[in-house]
Amino acid sequence: MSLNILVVDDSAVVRTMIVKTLRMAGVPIGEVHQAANGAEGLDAIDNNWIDLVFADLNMPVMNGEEMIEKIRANPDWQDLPIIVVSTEGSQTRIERLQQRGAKFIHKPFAPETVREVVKEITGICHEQQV
Amino acid sequence: MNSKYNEILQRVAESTFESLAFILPMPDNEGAGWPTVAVSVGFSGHFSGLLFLKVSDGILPELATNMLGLEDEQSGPSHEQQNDALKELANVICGNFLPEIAGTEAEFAVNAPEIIDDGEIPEATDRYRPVARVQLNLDSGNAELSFFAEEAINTKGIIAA
Repeated sequence: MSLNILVVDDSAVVRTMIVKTLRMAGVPIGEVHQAANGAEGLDAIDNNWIDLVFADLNMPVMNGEEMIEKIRANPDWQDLPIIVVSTEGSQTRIERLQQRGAKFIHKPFAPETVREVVKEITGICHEQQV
Repeated sequence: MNSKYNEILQRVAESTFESLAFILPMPDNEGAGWPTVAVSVGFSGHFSGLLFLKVSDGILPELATNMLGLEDEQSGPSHEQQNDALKELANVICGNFLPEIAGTEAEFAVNAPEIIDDGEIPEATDRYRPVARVQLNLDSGNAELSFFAEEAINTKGIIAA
């Protein structure tokens, strides 16, 4: 089974790095969708079949925390796996996100970390292909 | 300036260059050229301030190539990709420096990094005072970092216990 991925980050470089890292980690990827802020992310979820969301926190228009709140408020998306990828250092904020069912990956990150967290949250992950 | 903050900023910056872009610190790199390209990152929350990062322009292609995994591309990274890579590097350094000095309970909002058109890091700002300033010798060039924060930084006891 391949995962349709949505990467929400205002930096195109980070979006590319996350997709590259997923491929390096051997995660089976189907469609890749990208969004530059939380509002665009919600649109992408509304208009596509998404299996896994990667989200930044600090973004213009709508930040990642607000986007996650709106995702969880929608009954159709309550169980959608979400991984926050951020430099966030506040344990309080990280715990708040974890209470909403999001996993957290700290930047900078290694492919091994991404593979482990994807496997933990989706139960799906192939062996490393590099 | 506070030498403890300088040491922390130096460690965080070197670690970020290495882990994010595979660019390593060097003991001496005089021939690498002076930093000319600068980016700023503002933040607010527990306290507010600015981080400036300035690098030799020779670093930028390697930075973007390594971060984006473009080693096999003939054309190399675009100007926009190089600037975006520098902005993300500054964002990660700032994001990792703040909890080191403010502790893991403090919350911050980090703004989108911005390239500074004239490439100059200010010596002082109207709003913030200088807190830390370091230079890095790296295997593909040199870098300077300056961290400014509001006056209250000294009375809030921002160093984590």
